[in-house]
Amino acid sequence: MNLSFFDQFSSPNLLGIPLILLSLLFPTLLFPSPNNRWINNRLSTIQTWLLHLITKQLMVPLNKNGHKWAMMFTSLMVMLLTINLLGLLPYTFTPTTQLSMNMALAFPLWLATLLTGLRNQPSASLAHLLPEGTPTPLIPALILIETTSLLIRPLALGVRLTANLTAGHLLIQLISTASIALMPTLPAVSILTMIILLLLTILEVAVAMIQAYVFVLLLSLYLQENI
Amino acid sequence: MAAPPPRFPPDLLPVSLSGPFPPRPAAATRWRRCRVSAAGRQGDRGPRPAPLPLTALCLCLCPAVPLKDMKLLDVKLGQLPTWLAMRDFTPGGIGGALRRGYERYYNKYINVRKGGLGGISMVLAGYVVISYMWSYSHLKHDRRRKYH
Repeated sequence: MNLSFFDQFSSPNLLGIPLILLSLLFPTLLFPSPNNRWINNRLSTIQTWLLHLITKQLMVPLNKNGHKWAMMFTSLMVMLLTINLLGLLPYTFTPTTQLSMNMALAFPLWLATLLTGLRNQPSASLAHLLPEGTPTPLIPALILIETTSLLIRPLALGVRLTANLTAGHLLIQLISTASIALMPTLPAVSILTMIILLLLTILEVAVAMIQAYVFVLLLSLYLQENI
Repeated sequence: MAAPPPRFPPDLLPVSLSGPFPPRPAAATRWRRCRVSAAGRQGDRGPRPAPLPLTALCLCLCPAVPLKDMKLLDVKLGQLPTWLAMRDFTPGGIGGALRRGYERYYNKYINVRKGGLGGISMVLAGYVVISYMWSYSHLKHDRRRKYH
């Protein structure tokens, strides 16, 4: 039985040196820089294909000005995807389970989209606060509601990523503990729990990829409104 | 007729496989006459000396590179502290060593025509092992015990 199920989320330290930086830099080892050969090795080919897919998917709805954000979004997507998927390996630490890190990613990027909109097209940006076709008596309330929803966006972005990954890891740990604890007494129930654990792990792989995609997609949507 | 001097194949490392860095100068092992066999020939100044029988040739491998450039596996155990002291421990040197190690692994397992899952799986397995080592002080409290 674990002493505390939240120990896996404590930031790892080795003799007082925080190791979260190494956990953040490890994905760079997995993406070799492409060389100028006509046919690359298999790893580079797969990664280039994935990068093209991601970039196309994110950049199609944006106008020409929005394409300046291509490198930002693509690199953010690749980083989140890799970090989330690496966190599913045993004993590894997932930096995106830390709210501090996700807020540090979400808040500046959301603010950048907001300031871009307010700077380049201020009236159009402010016009988003009132949807078209609103009945007149509702206008004041709706503006307040829309302003709140605008200001809560970075919080939602950060907390969504944190909560999904933390909940997933926690569930995996709980169910595996239950499975091990049941094994001596009720092996049949233990095997059933292990099947559930297998399905949950597949779900977690999907969630890891989806959450990374949702984070970047929402940012691109916020950019679309403002650019 | 004197036996022709023994010929040895040149270093077989193709330049194209060595990565972006120029290849390290290989430890040139030149065959030298041993002092024992050479001593008898020092006085010979006249016409061509009599050919030495093959058994008199001492075939000792004396590598001609300085200690600084020798590879680790060629260094003798007694020379190890000297070799370590002569290595480049500046940040640039350490960065260069890390990059060389990375390039060696990359060119051996990943940058090949038909790479497989093994190349990247070894990296991930190493990452799992290192993560286990980092978090061991936390994990050792998670043992199955009747009383914690």
